[in-house]
Amino acid sequence: MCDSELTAFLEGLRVRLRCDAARRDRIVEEARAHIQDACARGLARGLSREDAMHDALAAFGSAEEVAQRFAKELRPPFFSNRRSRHLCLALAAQAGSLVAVPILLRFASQPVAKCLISAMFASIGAFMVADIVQLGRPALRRPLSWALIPYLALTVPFALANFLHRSAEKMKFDVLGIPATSVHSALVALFVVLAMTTVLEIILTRRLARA
Amino acid sequence: MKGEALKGHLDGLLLATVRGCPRHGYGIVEELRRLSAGLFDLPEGTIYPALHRLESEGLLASRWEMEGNRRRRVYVLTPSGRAALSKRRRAWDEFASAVTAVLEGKPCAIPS
Repeated sequence: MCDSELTAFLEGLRVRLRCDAARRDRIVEEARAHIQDACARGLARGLSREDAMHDALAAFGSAEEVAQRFAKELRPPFFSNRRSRHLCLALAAQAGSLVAVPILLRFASQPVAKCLISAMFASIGAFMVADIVQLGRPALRRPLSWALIPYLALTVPFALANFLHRSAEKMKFDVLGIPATSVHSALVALFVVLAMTTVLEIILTRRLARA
Repeated sequence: MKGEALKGHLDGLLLATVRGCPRHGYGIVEELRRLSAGLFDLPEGTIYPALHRLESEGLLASRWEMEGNRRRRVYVLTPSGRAALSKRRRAWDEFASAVTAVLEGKPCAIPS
């Protein structure tokens, strides 16, 4: 009964926390240790196990209240210096990628390799920007863990565009009135805009971890 | 005294509770309660967001420690935290002296 009550509370807290996975795990573990300590103190005072757990949970505060306080304390104001600095750096990296990634792609001889490079950089970069907007800082673990989905989703159409591009070159033939080469170029431009931010992600995350 | 009444003072109080020795969250709450003779009775879970923020500001550091078979996150004061605590202490002394002076109708002894 008591353990299930604690487990339910911690699960409620976990789903309400809006932060990266590492911090969420840490917060939940700290809450668990705290409530268990408080429960042990109640037992030492002569309370029944159920009453001790009930008191410990009541003293800790509701999961919603704690999660809201975390959101308030850990999320910097939208136009905070730190968020603005990270966004400026991310945008600068994206601008740099407009130059750097096409050069990188020239060295990849196979179209599939080009797709893989672009899609991987783009998907991780997109998550980095999303993290900066949401959390006020880049977070490495989240984009890496989620990158697989957009990575696969982007790779297939990009590979198709490459195939169309090569077919169009061979057959001198347009697709739906739009030259296949234009489709290809547009997709490359789209992916390249977000590329290279992975490097920035890693650098910034390491710097923040050291700080 | 509920959390709202401690607004603006919680950071200083938290830093002060770990001044002497490292403490985990529950230990910090107990120390706050003991030193204030039970007056500071805020929702215990709400100290953690403040502890995390103070850590991200470099005023506290933390590490996991095993105590018996239980793992706890222990907070320690950093050199920056110690300096911040001294600063807050001076500011509080000035503020308290000024309030006392006004309430008692006597001029404040500490120059502003």
